[in-house]
Amino acid sequence: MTCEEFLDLLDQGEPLPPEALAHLESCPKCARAHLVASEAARGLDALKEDEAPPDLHRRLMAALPAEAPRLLHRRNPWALPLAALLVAALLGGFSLLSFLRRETPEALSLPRPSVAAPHPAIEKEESASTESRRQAPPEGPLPSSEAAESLPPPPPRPLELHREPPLTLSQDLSEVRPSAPAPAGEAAVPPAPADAQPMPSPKGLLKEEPSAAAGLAPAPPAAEGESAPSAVLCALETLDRSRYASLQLPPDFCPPRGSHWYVVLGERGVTEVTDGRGKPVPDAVQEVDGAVRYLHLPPGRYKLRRVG
Amino acid sequence: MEAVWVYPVFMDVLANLPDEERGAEADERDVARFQAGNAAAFEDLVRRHERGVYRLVLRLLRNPDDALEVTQEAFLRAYRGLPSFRGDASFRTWLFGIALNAARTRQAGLLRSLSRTESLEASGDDPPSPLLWAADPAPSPESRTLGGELKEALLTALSRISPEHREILLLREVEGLDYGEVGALLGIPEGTVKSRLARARRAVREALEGIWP
Repeated sequence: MTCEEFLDLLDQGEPLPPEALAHLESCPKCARAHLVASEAARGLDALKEDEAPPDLHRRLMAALPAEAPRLLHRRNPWALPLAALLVAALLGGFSLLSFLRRETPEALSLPRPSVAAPHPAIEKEESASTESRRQAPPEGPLPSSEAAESLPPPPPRPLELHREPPLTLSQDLSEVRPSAPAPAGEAAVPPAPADAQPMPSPKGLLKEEPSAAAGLAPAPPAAEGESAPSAVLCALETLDRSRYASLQLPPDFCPPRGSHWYVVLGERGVTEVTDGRGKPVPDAVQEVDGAVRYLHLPPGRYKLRRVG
Repeated sequence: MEAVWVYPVFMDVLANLPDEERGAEADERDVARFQAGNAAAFEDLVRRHERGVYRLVLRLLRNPDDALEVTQEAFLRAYRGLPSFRGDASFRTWLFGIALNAARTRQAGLLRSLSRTESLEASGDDPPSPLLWAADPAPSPESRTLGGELKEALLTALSRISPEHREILLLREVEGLDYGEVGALLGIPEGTVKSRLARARRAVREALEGIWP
């Protein structure tokens, strides 16, 4: 074995074969190299000594941020295509559904489903409700003045009552405040104030106490020199279907504040008015009957409440 | 009757598992815990590898302060990168690779500072700059206090060989990485690892021959 072969074997780091050991005994130069290599291996072992500072762990942990890193979970490679497919399917489904809804009646020559015409009073009532939600736009389909003109002329009334069209709850309460009698034959519908605020749901209003309902607080006491209110806004509510209508009555012929009356419209045109305990209120019958018939309400039982 | 014998054999096999294998299993478990959202699992990983990383960096930089800073930086990088760690290599290999890169970066910065310092110094009468220590082959104070003459001579020999030989010797002979881990860490095949290790042993042996009596 040559010295070069021996040194190659020595630097492999493997145990030396017998022939290499034999060469070692006969070659002082290689014996010296073997000794130094052994010392180097011993020195490398010495480098394994732990020389870390005692507070190494604490200092390393202190250097880490307090918040956890954003975890990037491995994503399913199919997740994105599947999500895109699902979104496309949903959009396509909605588009197809809306197309069929729009096109099916004509395409299939099917008549559109007929909607039973509501009772005129109810229709008018709903119209009033719609108008209240629309805030009575000037160019609305049915302005209140036109609606008033379309109504049949009111029957003769024994008492002087403003021949104003029935108020809707969209109109501000100021409309029923004292005002001069309108000229005969003229629909006295005061213009809505420019700053009229939208009123809450009529149904909700009717359930509130008049004094607590916003915007329906009793009119302030008449100032000196002004006349007393000649009409009070009342609500007429059916007991079975919770429909309602509004009408005006003289103060003497409407329920006291905080109470209610019952109005029964008979099939034969008989009108009965009773208080909350069922006791007849004969004085109010004629006046209430006139206002109710003015509204063309169908026969039935109603609850009358003062809302202003 | 056989079961009575199987259990001791099984326990014996478990007890004789190398520390590296048991550590690798624990690493996998802690990495999975961390990636599942348990950030506290990282502390177990730190505890298991902090001394090895510090030792490797200290041998490469030969300065305890630099070694501590680079070790902190390596664990911080690992903390931030562990969510995207895919496990292609073992955690230890991955972590040591981070530490090795951080140490190389620090070494390069120190060498640049050294060259600037040397160019500014007109005469050699002034005491050496602390920056010189990183590249100075002379033994460090800590090696004088903690190690013997052999250790001091070996450190000097290591400082005189090439960085790639120094790195591969430390990874294999001091940190105990197997050929596969070293190859994965350095990006070379196992055959290259073995041949480079042989050349590194020869280099350090020849360097030590001029120092060691």
